[in-house]
Amino acid sequence: MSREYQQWVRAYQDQAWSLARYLLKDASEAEDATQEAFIKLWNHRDDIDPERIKPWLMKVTRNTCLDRLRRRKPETELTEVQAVEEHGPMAGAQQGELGRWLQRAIQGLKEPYRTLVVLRDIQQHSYEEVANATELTLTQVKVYLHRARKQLREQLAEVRP
Amino acid sequence: MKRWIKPVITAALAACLALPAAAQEDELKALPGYVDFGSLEAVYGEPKVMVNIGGMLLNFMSKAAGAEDPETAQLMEGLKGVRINVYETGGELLPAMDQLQDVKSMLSSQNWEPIVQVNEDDENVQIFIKLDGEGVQGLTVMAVNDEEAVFMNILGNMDPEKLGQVMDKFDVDMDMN
Amino acid sequence: MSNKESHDTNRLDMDEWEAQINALLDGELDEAGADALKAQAEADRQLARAIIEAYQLQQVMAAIPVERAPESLREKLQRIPAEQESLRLAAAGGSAGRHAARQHAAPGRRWFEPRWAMALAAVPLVVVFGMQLSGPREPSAAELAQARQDLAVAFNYLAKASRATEREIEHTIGVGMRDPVQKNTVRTLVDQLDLNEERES
Repeated sequence: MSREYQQWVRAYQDQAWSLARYLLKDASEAEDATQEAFIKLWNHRDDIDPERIKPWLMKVTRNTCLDRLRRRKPETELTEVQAVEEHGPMAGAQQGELGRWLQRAIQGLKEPYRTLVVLRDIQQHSYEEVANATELTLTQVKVYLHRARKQLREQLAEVRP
Repeated sequence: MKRWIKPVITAALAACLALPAAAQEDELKALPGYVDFGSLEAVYGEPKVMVNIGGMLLNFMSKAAGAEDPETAQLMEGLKGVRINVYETGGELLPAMDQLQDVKSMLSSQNWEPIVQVNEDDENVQIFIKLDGEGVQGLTVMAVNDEEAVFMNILGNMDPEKLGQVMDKFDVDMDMN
Repeated sequence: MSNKESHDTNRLDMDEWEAQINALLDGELDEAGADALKAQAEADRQLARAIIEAYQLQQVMAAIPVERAPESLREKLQRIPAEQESLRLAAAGGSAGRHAARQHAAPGRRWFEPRWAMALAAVPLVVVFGMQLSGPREPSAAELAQARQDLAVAFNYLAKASRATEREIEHTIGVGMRDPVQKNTVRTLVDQLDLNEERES
């Protein structure tokens, strides 16, 4: 079982860490949250359908991050949002760093939009996996994702000459 | 002979024999369009295709083409190097996909710009380009599927639209436009 | 129809389009629906532009790398089974837990062997010496022929990768918009965010 666990670590550690980074915007806290999620994976490994490890892990990582966000003082999140605003969107566009600008724009999205864009558009999970990870219905995932992409396109249109 | 001397001599001889390739690689490493792909030999064994053409050879090839085909000669003149490693994946995609993701992260941090990509469960293709004030500095292509993992790096100043024309000269059916 | 009504109708069209464009890019639109939308886009510049923009956004997002977990985290994740087992055994009160914890905390194997350090240090000297001996020289005809063949092989792989991406673009948004997207993409790279002229040509 330990070998299977090591395979899961290898396959999903980057995705879980990346999601935590987008959600928490703090490397140290993202590291703790990812570790917490993998500890839960190890402790519940016998209860999880091996076919659904990935969405299970992404769900737990997300929930762990959301718990941490809820525990944060309101002004902490506000400061971080301001920091994101200061760096983009115009600053990024002026440098021609479309990818970096977009990363910051995604960090500025509200939940669940941010998670949906990260899981579906960046990490390329299937709709079903995204629905499982976010505990939303397929229809909700599609509708919210549609709104999130629209927001990003509108922001992008504003910075394009 | 002390036991450790034999491996030293073997390693030294191997280094001498590999000198042209190693020297070419070192020459290319200094260029802004160079990409370190790492190695997948530990997983897939030796690459089935390993090409490493340095600036000197390309320069001679450009000169050789010059008289008969000035257009190709001019296009090739800007190329500083062509590197490609192709591994047989035998259906085991994960290590190659991991490597691709690692390189993708590195390219992103080094201001490479994505041109286009395919992200399917059984096929992943990524094409990146590096630009600076003087134009294109390099092109990187990574492709992973059930059969093979391709890591390719073209260095030097090139016009992506004209690259297709050079490829035509090499009997390659391709249109970059 | 009043201006407001006209505006609302356009907005309705755009919302409907937005939903369809998303479905098209996600491969969720059935073949007939996809063909109809692509045909409509051939005649409607605004729709075509919306599809191209959405496709480009999708491509840029897909190109954002998944950030690699830091080494410190990778090590922590690999240690979880051993640590959790130690905790479990310790909680059970057995001495085995402490033993396992001690074993786990034992220092790693020695990697620094002076003998091999000397062997590795000797190689670069030989390489430098060899480079001085060989010096720059003209490649032989055989080397040039080999290089030409190598270049053809490399270009074949480039062509293959390019065909795969072309297929993807054709499949997703249609042949009619393949060229504008590719031209736009190259243009984006050169002119950064200035895409307007190409889109309207």
